[in-house]
Amino acid sequence: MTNLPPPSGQNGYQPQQPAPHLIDSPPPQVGDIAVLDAGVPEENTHFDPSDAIIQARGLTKQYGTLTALNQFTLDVPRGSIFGIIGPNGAGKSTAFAILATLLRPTSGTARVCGFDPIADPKSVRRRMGYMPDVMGVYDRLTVSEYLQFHAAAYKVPRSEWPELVDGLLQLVDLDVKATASVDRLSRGMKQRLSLARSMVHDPDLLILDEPASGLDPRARIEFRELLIALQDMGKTILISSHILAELQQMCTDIAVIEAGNLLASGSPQSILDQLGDGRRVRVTFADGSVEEFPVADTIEQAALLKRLVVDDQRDVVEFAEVSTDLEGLFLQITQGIVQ
Amino acid sequence: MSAVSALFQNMNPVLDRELRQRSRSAKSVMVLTLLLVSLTAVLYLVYLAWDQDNQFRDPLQNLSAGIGAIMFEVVLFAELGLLLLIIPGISASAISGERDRQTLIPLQITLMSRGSIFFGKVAASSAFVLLLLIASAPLLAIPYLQGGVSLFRISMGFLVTLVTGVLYATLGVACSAVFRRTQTATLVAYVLVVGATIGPLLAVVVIEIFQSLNGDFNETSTWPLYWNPFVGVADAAGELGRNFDSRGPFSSIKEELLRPDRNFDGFDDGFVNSSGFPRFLLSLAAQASFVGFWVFLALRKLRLPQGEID
Ligand SMILES: Nc1ncnc2c1ncn2[C@@H]1O[C@H](COP(=O)(O)OP(=O)(O)OP(=O)(O)O)[C@@H](O)[C@H]1O
Ligand SMILES: [Mg+2]
Repeated sequence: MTNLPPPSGQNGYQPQQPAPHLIDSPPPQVGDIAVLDAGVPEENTHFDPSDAIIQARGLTKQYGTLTALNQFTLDVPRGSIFGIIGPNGAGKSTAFAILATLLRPTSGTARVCGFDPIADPKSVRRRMGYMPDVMGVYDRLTVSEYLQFHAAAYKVPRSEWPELVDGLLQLVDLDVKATASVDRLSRGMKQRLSLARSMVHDPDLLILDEPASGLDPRARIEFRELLIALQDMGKTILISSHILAELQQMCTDIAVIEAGNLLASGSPQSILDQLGDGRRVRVTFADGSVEEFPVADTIEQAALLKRLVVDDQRDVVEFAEVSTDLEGLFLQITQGIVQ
Repeated sequence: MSAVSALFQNMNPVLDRELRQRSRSAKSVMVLTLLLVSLTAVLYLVYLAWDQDNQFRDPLQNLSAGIGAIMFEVVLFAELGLLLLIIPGISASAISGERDRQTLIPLQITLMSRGSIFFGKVAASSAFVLLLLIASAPLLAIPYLQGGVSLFRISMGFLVTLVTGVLYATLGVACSAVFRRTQTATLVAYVLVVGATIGPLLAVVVIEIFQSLNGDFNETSTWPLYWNPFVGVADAAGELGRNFDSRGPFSSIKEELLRPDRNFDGFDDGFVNSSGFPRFLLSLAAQASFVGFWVFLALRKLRLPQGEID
């Protein structure tokens, strides 16, 4: 037996994602969940960090006395959909702004698409598309003019515009709105247009800051499918959200951040697996009483059932694992720290 | 043909977009209409005043005085004044407006340099200034037909006014980059316009007082006036040696303040100062240095990555 189970690809995803590498820097103050002190050694059997499209090392951003981002270290594998989860004010936008060549960190280094976003922002911009958390629009400009403008700003040759704009509008399902005024679009449409805008120069990497906020459930599902389609096209996507369900379903990797500190990162499943001693079983008895028992794994779970039914002779009518999803995890490992 | 299409191909994206948007805006038409109506009114008032003044005059003197020259100067003077009022309003939201609309970051993240973003904004504002000037140019034809002013002088006045307008449009755009909020940027731009107009006059007065306190009764140096936006145009559009009652505002400024040797009572029709350099160029250069300082601040503010993003 190896000392650590490899990340299980339950959602059909098997590739070279980083196993849950745990962050040593912030002190493990995350309740009674041993996310941080699992003592995982460097195990890069599946993932070589030099293949990461984003490498952040100890990024720190201070605003006066407030530490918006603290020793943020992250590897985003090429081809992944990497989700960053955190409550309001956690530092997600701050981290994204640094990676997107907008913000100068107080300390730390980063490489994005192979270039330093601070020293060589142009090279990063050529290869990276960024969608800020707020979507601004111009007035008196049509949807296709809006995209043409950004294509021009990205120095895409004029001859390529018509095909590019048509393709992007089809991709984000806005082709019927090509001649509509940008400021008349609905919020969801603006967000899709903003995504299309971030792709006018065919970047390898998309950094999307809460792209799905304010979308209705159907639009959210469509957005998710769109991002998966983009991943299939070979793009890497870094996305932030506080809506966990959507990240859980599409992300190959997830990092949890709070108050500037990275609390955990890995595949969604591996993060759930790290919650071993958080797993519980709820048992309902014939007399209607309900009890919950902590279990470490399925072996312990089977032993518990045997003990209750065979040894203790109790009338068990229902025996079920309390489902732990990321939502629960999120609430457990974050503490609602507000800076 | 290919040169023109190449120019079109490589047109600054920001300029291209701004022109598109401006052409669809009712605001620009309103501003233009307002300017033309005001200038026409000024022209008419000058004519009326002149008529009143000269009812009882010797017709011979009337002939020599040249209503055309005064009309030209008054209209151009009014036009410059109105432009200085209009320009901060149209240029000081250029960049802060994008910031307000959250469109600045998506623009800055592209491959456009901050210099070309800034230039695109300045060019768009300047294009509007040019449009205003060209649209009102026919009003200057009336004084020309009245006689007393040469086409050369009209052209010079027009050109220097245009350059002055472009400088102040640049100043407005710079303010909108330096200050986060459009209101602040607009306010500062207006303060700077008023300051540039009044400040040099105050400076000269202060120098004069200082000199007389020191018992120095030489002619006061007027060099601070080169920073005044009206002075450059005055040098280009005004004429020395005019009869007192046929002097327009620019000729008066030129006569009182820009005479190469103010003790010399002769004629000087040139633009050249005592050291041989055209004074309107000196004035434009002085104003450009002032504007350049703000452009420097603006470009610094537009640099990314930045310690803090607006
Ligand atoms: N310009 C600034 N000056 C001072 N503090 C700032 C500045 N920008 C961000 N902060 C602070 O940095 C912290 C992190 O902010 P950030 O926007 O990165 O959070 P976030 O995770 O994106 O939150 P949200 O989910 O609400 O978007 C917050 O406490 C915020 O108040
Ligand atoms: Mg945010």
